[in-house]
Amino acid sequence: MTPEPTLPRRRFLRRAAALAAGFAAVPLAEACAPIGPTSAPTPAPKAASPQPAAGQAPAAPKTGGRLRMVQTSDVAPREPHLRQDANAPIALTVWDTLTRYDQSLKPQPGLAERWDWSSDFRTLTVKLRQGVKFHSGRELTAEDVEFNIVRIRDPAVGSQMRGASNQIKKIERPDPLTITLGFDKPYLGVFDLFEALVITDRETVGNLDQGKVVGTGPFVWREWTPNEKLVLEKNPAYWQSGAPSLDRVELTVISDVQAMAVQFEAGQQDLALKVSAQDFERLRQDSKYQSVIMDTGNSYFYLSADVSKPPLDKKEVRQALNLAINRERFVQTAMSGISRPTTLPWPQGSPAYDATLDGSVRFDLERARALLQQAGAGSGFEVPITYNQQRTATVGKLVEILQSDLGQLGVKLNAQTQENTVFQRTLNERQFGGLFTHLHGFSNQTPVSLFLQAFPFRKDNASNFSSPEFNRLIDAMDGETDEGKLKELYAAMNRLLLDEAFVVNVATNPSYYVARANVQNVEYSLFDWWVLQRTAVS
Amino acid sequence: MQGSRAVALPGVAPERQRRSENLYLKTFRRLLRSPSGLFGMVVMALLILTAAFAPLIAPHDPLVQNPGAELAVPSGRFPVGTDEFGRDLFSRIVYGARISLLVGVLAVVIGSLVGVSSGLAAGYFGGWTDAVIMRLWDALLAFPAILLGIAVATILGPGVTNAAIALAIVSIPQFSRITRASVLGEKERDYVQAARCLGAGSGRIALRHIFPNTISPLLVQLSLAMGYAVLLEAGLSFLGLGTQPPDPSWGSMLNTSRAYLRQAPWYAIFPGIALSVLLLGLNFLSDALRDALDPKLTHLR
Repeated sequence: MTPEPTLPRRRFLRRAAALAAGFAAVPLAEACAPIGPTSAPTPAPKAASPQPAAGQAPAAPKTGGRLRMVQTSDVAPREPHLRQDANAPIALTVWDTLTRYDQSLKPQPGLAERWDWSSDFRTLTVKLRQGVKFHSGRELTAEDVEFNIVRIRDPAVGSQMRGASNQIKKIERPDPLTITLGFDKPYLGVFDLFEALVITDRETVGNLDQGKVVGTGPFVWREWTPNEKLVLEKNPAYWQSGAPSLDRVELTVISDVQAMAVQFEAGQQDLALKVSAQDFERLRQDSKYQSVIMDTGNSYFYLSADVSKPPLDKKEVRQALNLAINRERFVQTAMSGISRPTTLPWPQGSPAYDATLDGSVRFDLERARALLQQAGAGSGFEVPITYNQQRTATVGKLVEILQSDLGQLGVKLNAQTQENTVFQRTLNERQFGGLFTHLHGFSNQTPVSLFLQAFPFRKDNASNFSSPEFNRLIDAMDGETDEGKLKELYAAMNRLLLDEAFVVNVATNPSYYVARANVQNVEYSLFDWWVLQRTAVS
Repeated sequence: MQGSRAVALPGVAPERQRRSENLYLKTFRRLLRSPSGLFGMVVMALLILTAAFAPLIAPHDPLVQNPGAELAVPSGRFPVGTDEFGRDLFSRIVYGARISLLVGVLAVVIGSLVGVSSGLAAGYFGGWTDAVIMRLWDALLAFPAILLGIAVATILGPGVTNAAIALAIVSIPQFSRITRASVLGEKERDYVQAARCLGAGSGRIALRHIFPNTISPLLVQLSLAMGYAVLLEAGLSFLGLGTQPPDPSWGSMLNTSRAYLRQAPWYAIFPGIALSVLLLGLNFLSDALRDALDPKLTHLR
């Protein structure tokens, strides 16, 4: 005879139904609760300056203590020269760079103490700071700098800075602390390379996958459990006097963005990077927290077209698609108003920025329809649109808005997502075969760097777009030192970008964070990399 | 002896044969008399009717966005509110029923066809056939269902059809094992020996004589599998591997609603209720079916 179950099925189902009803009552109760800030909204604090002037004694912060940070992606120390958002907590904490831009895009000394240009701007002599040591105890020399510059030329490294490094045609080391770089033509953009090139230890960089992460930064890599936790400890031999203030930085990885916000609000974290836009807006209303938008112009949403596939080979069709992007709606729906609509790839402080042109493309479905008819695509067409699965929460919403709006013009967008690695490979191999949308950087440096390094804007861009004028403008910018001529070149390139519309910007994608009120002096670079030399937790 | 296609054997009273032929009608009547069975059947009927008449039931086009009405509270115009694009949630829930029905039916049809036929072969022929087939399905059973579903959907790519195929693959082992167990019990019976003596081939014996007597447990498994498939589809859509935007799916709605739990809790509540009611109904139905087809109870008639 079959023994009676301890919890008969029907009783279990009845209890489960009751339990489910109970859970449903919780959000119902929330829905009845008044919606609004629990205290008067406080203005967001000013964003911290991107970088302190190197070598200066920090304003006396509290010393000691630990900072608990949380983000959704794990760090990727195995490839320090591939710029990735996930490495923002370690790029300038474990490693260091030769120079760093200040807010007016002027390079400031870092590991490089000073530098001199030759009169023709084809040779740059860089003097390294004396006495800087890697965490292993070995002193930094010019050979380490040369090693890192050459390393990123390897296609296997996959660095976006490969093109920039290849501009350096000659490297000499007249003494252990001096490195001389020679160029075929003037290359002022070399400081963009210095901004991004973290100096790894040439003796241990081959062992990064064994967890031997060695740099010259203010914090030492102490302990790492992949996808869980990273612990950094103060580097007592750091070259900058009085820094860092903190004893320890603990980074926790929580892949779910809602769970991350819950942990932060529960007091288990001091700083949370990129909670959801909705949670950010909500926490902004609470005076217990600092809510900071890092508006560095580091990242932008864009929409691009593979011009090798009809009808995207017609620029009128591409211009029509540009007019059909409801940027304001995207900013409100996906970013809760945190970001800013834009049609050009430049931050407002960039020498290439043009306010008139940036505002010249407004959402206009009727003009878009007319352009499609002019291009012979008035009856509509079908085209795939691809995006990175990891960006579903933001870019996915742009795709849905576009599907709805373009659907009114008879244009059917077939959304396809690709896993991150696959997407990066497709981007590299330029094989999208339709529309694609993603994020790009390299906008907030010397403008020519965008066209030398960013996948969507290079000569060998992911859109398969090429034109003699496009190439001419890039070549002219690259090596031009006269500011007046550069202004003209930037203006011409902006007009070309809007006219050809093979890649169009949609909105800024600022980083943002929330932190407890007792966290002080959190700073970040142009790339949104954390600068924690002066950070303190009271 | 159960089955609607009982062999006419000499010496068997006609009344007993007529009783067998009315078994499924009696089962249906017993389901109607059972509260849980009735609830399950009502839920299934509601699902089918909602899916079939969605264009008539839904007040709005589920794909049309209404700028300015994003995350609207339930109102006369939008009975259960709107999502982040201003789309009517009630219409999306109604059309989402189609996805649930499609995936559920597709998954169990494919899963049962492959599972039942392989189980029939394994149970009837035995030997190497049995060993190979069962070891193959045992290997699949070693994986948690959701993990297997994710793996298959990742290989095939996201989408409703691929999700249904993934779920069908997940359900095959259960159908096969149940069929095989029933076949093992039936193949030694007298009626099978009799059919063999009369010269019936293996195929005829397996399909016309044995298979009808294995249907009862399969019916129960069908409703269980459908409920499971609907739940897994919701899980795959939740993970972005099932229904793709902008098509409505209860699972993907639940996933997206998480970001708006505090601002718009109705976004999660109503798709959650729809999914819960469907799963509860399917479970009650399978429960009632099992009771209704219980041979101990049918012998009392």
